[in-house]
Amino acid sequence: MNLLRLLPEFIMLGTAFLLLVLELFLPRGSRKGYAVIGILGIAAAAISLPYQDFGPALAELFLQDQLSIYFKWLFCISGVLILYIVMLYEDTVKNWRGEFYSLILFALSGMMMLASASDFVGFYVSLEFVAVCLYVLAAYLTESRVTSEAGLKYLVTGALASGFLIYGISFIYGATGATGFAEVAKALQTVEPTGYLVLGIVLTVLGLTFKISSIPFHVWAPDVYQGAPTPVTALLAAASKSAGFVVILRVLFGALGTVKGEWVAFIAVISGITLLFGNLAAMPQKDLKRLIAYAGIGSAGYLLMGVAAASEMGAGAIMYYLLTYIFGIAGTFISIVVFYNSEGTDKIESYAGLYKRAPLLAFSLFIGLLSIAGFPPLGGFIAKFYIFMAAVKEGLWVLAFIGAMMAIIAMYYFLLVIKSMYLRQPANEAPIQVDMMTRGLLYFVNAVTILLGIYPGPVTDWVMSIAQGVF
Amino acid sequence: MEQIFFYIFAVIAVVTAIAVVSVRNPVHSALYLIVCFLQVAAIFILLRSPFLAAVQVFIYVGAVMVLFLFAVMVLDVGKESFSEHMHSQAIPAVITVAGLLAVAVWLISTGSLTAPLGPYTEEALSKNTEVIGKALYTQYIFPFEVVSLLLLIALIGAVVLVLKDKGRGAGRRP
Repeated sequence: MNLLRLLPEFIMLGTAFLLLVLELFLPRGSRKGYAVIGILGIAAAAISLPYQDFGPALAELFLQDQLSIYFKWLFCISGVLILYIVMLYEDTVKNWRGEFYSLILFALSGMMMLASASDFVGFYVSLEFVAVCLYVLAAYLTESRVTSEAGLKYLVTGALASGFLIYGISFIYGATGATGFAEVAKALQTVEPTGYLVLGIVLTVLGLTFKISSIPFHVWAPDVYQGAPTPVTALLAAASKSAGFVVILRVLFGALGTVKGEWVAFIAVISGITLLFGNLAAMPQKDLKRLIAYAGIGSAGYLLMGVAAASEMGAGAIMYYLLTYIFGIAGTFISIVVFYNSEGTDKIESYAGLYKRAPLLAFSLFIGLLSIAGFPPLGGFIAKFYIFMAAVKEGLWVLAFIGAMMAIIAMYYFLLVIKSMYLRQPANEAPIQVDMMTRGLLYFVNAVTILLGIYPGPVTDWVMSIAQGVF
Repeated sequence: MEQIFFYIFAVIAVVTAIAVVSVRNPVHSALYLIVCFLQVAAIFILLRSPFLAAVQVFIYVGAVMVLFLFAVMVLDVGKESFSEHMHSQAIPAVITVAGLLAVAVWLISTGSLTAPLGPYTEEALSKNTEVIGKALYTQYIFPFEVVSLLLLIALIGAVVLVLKDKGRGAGRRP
């Protein structure tokens, strides 16, 4: 019965529906219970992952393989961490509604389907499903003008990008006569790559850049990251970016891998411009969430460098990068939410002297931000190292050079934040309380980030063995 | 003959589509969009897909656009609010679009369709509705189900975003 291959998705959807219905029966003010139910649901889905057998389901439009299992792990991990962030965050929000939890679970289940979609039709529909959930989440606090503006900007840019994507897919279909990724790859072995195919690839890639917030559809990122509720920002930064890259791996490496000569140069140019723009524009930022948005654009550039390498090693490096990125983002955003609950601001200058007030928060931001920037010996450094290695191996010297320069700039702007946290005097000496649960989780997340840096062996071996199958 | 009709429909569709984004009155814009959708429906008929054509007319022209016109008229969106934003970036937008169009035309002119035609024969086309129905519930059941989830989320999202509720959260009052 190959329908069992959809078990993780079914568990996630079931939990989401359960939360939706519970909203009617549970008394108000007991929202923490929702997060616990959601985390249990995600844990159940995660437990079912190792028992999955590989193969297609649902008329071969759904494919369970090592790649999809790996990304489903990523979505489960980020899901648990994000639901915990929501639990911390909801204290400060008036007029809170429990649908938030079920929308997050719907978005995560859509991302899981995205990781398994093996057909342009299924992939496009899953992508839209995730996007609609995220549009609603980004605009969730309807009383705040900033949040509504963020949601509207996200929606309009997303609709435009979807137009590009579906137009590109129609050209690829026209050139190959197939919609399944495997059939497209098979058709391209005989069909000469013509103008139709090139146009299709270019438009599809442009449409996908929206999901990963790289040039040319990066414009939404700073405003939405800053304006959206903080847990949604974390969801966009960690899970949504991973979903974008699993799609890119499937489409570019899986379906269009045989004609990689047609798209490598294009991706390399996008990657270079994204690296330059994201990191240079991050320098003057005053708001921490906005700074992370620009740094996130820069990270999309590094990840695209791995795509431009178009090799198994590049794919493995992308997967490892996303894992370290999720833990970096989680540590950073838990600290941001705890700080916001106490101080009510995300401005970088208000973080001054945080070390004296809450050493653990300062330490988590230190580890998280430096891991995102790629500072040795943290996880992000190993990931960037693999990306550079993959790029240099394929002869992308210029791109690797730009990347190395921008990594130094990334350390500069993150170290400015860290310097003000550790060396400056706080305006207000009162310590910030962090409860036991959060402490434990922060220790765990930081430990994982450090461990991924000093002992990456098991994970990188696993990732590289998965990467053998992407082409 | 078919080609002549195709060009008539296609030209009207493109012209009205340009009119949609360039006229100042949102109601006129919506009416142009209806004309554009009708032309697309006509092109579906030329492609021997009467079912898609009917769906296009029923759903887009009938339901969506009438609802949209209704909303525009009820909300009373003024001419000014639209026109101010639409035309400040007109020149760069035209240059970008013209550039993209030139690249697209060049790529299409260098290309030729070498792919084999789809599996559906002339006989299957005459039983259009039946073929689509079968494909939708067997071959394409996965996207079909995901679309149903998508519509559910769109519904919930719309309610969540516009529902006004005083106090913390909804749910049963204690």
